[in-house]
Amino acid sequence: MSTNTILLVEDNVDNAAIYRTILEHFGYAVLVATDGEMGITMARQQSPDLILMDISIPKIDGWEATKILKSSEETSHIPVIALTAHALATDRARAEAAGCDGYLAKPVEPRRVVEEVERQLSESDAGASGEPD
Amino acid sequence: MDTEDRNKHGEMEEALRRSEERAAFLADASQILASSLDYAQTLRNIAKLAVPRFADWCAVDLIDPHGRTERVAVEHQNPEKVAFVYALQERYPPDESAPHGVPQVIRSGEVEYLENIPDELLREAAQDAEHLALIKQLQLRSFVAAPLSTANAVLGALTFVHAESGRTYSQLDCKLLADLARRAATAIENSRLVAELEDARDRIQEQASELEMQTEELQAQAVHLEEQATELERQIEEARSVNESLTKANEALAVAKSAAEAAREEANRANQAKSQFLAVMSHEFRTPMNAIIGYTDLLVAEITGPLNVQQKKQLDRVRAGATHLLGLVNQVLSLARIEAGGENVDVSDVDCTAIAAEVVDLLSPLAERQGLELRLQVPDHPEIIRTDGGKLRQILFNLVSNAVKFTDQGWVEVDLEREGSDVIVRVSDTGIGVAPEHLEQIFVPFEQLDRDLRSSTDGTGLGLSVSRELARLLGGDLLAESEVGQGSTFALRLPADSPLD
Repeated sequence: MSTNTILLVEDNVDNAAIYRTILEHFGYAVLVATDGEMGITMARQQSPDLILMDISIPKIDGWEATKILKSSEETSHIPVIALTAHALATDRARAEAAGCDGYLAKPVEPRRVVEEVERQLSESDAGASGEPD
Repeated sequence: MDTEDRNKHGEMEEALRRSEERAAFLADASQILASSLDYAQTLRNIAKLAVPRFADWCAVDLIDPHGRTERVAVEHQNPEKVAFVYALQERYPPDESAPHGVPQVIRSGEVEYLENIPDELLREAAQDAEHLALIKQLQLRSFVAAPLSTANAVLGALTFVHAESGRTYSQLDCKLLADLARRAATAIENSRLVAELEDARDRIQEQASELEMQTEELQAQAVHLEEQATELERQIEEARSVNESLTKANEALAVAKSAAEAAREEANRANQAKSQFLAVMSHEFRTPMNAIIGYTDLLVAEITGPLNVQQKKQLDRVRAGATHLLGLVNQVLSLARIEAGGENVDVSDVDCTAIAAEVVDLLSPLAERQGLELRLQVPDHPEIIRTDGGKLRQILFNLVSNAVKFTDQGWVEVDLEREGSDVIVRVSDTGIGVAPEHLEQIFVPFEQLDRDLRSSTDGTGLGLSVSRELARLLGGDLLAESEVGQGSTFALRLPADSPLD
């Protein structure tokens, strides 16, 4: 089984370090982008298996970046989990509207992040397994 | 003295006697005329006086106010004869246009005198043979009919008749009787004038007393009016002063109102600013909190290397502190959102029984660790109401975790029941309790009671405030009953039909 690659779009150094550490601990390859523009570029170039998208990021925010990725053929299949510090009820609706596959409100325990990543990937695998190689 | 002389002497004596009689009659009559103002009675008295001294018959006729002649007296010594005359008169009413007698006297105002009444006169006067026979029975011989006349009018007539006595009236008698009638008429007029005067006097007196009465009444009315005017003036003055004070009060009110509006706007702005500040601050808190909790988790999970027992213990304390701080931040954020009116309510069909059971399940491990019994008393059927399930869960979680935190031993019970159109969830405990006078205070943010007593607990002091705000947001309320040392009961009341639907 090949190593899954996670693209972490996060401008906060601490958060990036924490999620990278736990994800690597659980065997994922982790790429980090520190703003929306960079996130979109890296998603196109590296084709990660999943994107963890912080919402409050410079240049292009998480909502906008997700919309762009989901509207492009080469990146629309990549699951996106939104990470938001707002914890508002409306955020979940907004995440869905933007095309996010999952939603986590910060602060979130690192293990909870890993759980959500695993869940999204297994759903994505199940969807992909039905398609011819 | 010879016979002629004797005769002459006798005639003279007779004339003298008669003259004396006339004088006496006139004197008596004058006295009668002067004695009374009731002239009808006076005339009747004159008639009585005349009979029999000066007449066998005497009759009095007066003109009544309607111009008709009325016989007011007939005098004769014999009452039977009087009755006879009245009956005759009844049977043959006198003809007022007759050329002789009373009608003629009244019409002309002249005296009629017949020393000897001729038979043809009687025949003329009679209306038929029987009448004539009856008249003849009266043996009328001589008569004088004198008008009761004054300068202005004829008031009636006095009639003197000699009959069965055989006497006759002389010219002198006639003059005397005419004079008497004149005097009588004057007396009548006088008495009429007096009566009129008296009448007038009475009327004037009546009018005067009426006037006096009216005057008194008017005076009373004037006094009353004056009183009313004074009262009105007083009322006007009062109204004016009331009006003035009202105007002043209105002005003051307007000033106070605009001040209050300004203050309210200011307060609203301040409140908005505060809520905005709290929301931003809470958000800003979460980022470093995320780092603290994240790194702590990594360390505790020993991903970056093994820890000794002491390090693990200390990290547990770090995590507990961070979790508490996070809870605080979350509650502040919640409160700020509700106060700013930014909290959305998501109403759906919610099973309260299931949510109560969930919350109890979730907090059972915590209760067990503290050696507390966490009981659940709910109906064995779903209790569905229209409300926001997430917020109901949040409220119950706050209430039950509070109860568990503040109870050292005993139990915590959650019971649910339907009360009319409301659902009541009660969370009771055997904890330290709250004095009744402090029951409202515990809902005020950060107003924890007896900080020393609670220093060991990790309540945020915001859970109850947030819970009550949420309950009210859902159209319900949260109330507390408690006594120190007797435990507490928090009752959440929610309407089955959301007012926000």
